[in-house]
Amino acid sequence: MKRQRIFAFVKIQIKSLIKVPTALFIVLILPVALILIFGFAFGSIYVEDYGWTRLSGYLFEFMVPGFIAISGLFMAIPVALSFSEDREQGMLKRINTTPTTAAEFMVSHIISNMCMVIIQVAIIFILTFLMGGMRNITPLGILLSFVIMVIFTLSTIGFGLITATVSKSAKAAGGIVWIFLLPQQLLAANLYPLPPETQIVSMFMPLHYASDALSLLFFGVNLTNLRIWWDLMILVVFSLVLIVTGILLFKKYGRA
Amino acid sequence: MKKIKSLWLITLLILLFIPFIRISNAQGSYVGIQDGDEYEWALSVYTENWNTYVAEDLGTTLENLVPLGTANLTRVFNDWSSRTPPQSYWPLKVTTINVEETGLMFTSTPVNGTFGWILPPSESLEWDEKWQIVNDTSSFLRQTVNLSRSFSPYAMFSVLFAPTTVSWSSLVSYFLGEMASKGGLYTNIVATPQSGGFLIDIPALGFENNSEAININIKYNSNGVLSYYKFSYGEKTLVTFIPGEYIPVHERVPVEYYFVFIGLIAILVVETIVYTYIRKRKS
Repeated sequence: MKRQRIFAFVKIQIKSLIKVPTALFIVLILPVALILIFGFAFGSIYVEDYGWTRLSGYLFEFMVPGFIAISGLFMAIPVALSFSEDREQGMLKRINTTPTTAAEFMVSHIISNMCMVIIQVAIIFILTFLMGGMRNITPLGILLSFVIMVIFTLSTIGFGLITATVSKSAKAAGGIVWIFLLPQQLLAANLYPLPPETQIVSMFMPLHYASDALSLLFFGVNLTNLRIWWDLMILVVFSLVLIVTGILLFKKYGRA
Repeated sequence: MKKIKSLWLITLLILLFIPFIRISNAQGSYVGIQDGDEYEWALSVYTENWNTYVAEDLGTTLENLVPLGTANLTRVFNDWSSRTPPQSYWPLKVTTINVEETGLMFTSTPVNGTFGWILPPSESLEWDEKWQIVNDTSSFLRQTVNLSRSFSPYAMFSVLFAPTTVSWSSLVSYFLGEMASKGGLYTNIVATPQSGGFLIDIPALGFENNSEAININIKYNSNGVLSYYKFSYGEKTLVTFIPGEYIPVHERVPVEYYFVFIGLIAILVVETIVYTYIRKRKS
């Protein structure tokens, strides 16, 4: 793998992400809108023993970790779109004729998406801070939040790849990707209290572990809390499984 | 030169441990706990098993025969029956173990500490408390008011510590002697020693209006700390008071996590095998 080639691709992909209005909306405008709308709507509502954590705080503080995780999850859309488009436009076949390897191409995608997620999370943190929603999170907690989101990005790329594999066109990919996104967004984002049975269902979704760990960090829970590390550990394995599945499927069926 | 360096290093290491050194008064050989020790018990009231107890008004019978006042068993039921077990947690921290003192009733070592309750998820209360660890078996029997404190977990709060030297068989035989001298219904009480504690059994109708047998099981660990309390009526557990630490909901790792983790690892292993197989076949 040549580093220069990877970074050249990263540059191209970030530029193309910014140029595509859908991608730009998902990456930057959606998280900002979510924070502003819900921040103003629920910023002053104080709840006690709320949600699964049974912690107390402002409703907005309970929602922000979910929004961060959802924003990361939505990265699956540009991934699915770009891979499908690349395939449609014959980009993947052209790359095959160059010295660039499939691994380099894939790694560049992973890096560019991770960069976008880091930007996303940073924007959300700044906005949330300005709106007074970061009363309890520690500096180490903020750092760990970035780590969690970077790992979570791997699983969203996996979802994007699986979507690109099963969809015949970029348009179809834009619709199919919601099969992966919607259940997670509704059941695993910890935005509102759910019955225990639904919580168990959410444990089969990677978003649960990202939003769970972020929720704990947002409430300033001690970093020695085992649950945070279990969340992170499962998220790592989940991401590995999804990215490997995505790569395997895309290699076998998605490059035609 | 090397020796001097090593000596310096050892001295420094020893100095590092100074903050962890605990200085405490010389305590009696029957005291098994230390300053700074922390304990926690979980109180569980099994409301669904109390129907017969309530219907037969066993509380009044017990109060007549083994009066415990506000610490009686019915009070425990009234306080906690509206919640699911374990309803509350009772943390105890030993702050100081004082010098042995001789009182009118017995010779004992006073223990100062904090005691309180945690009502999940977030309510709690703590207060200063004093316990006495008595120095022998007969004193322990007196301290438990002839084991009548065994009839309620609230009453047991004052005897959370027993002397490590207590002889449970002697305790039971002293107790049975006391009951025989009292006569009447008290002679129906059966007590049996067990490892680290004793059992109290009152057969059905032993207290006249108890249609079922009453069984109490109490154990202390080797340090003399209460390690088990169970009150059963008609073989149904009414209440238990056993060591247990409250873990806030947000710190609990759900059991499903382990299954998900193992499942994912299995998938990853299968994927690796498939990937390796494909690569081998290609080459």
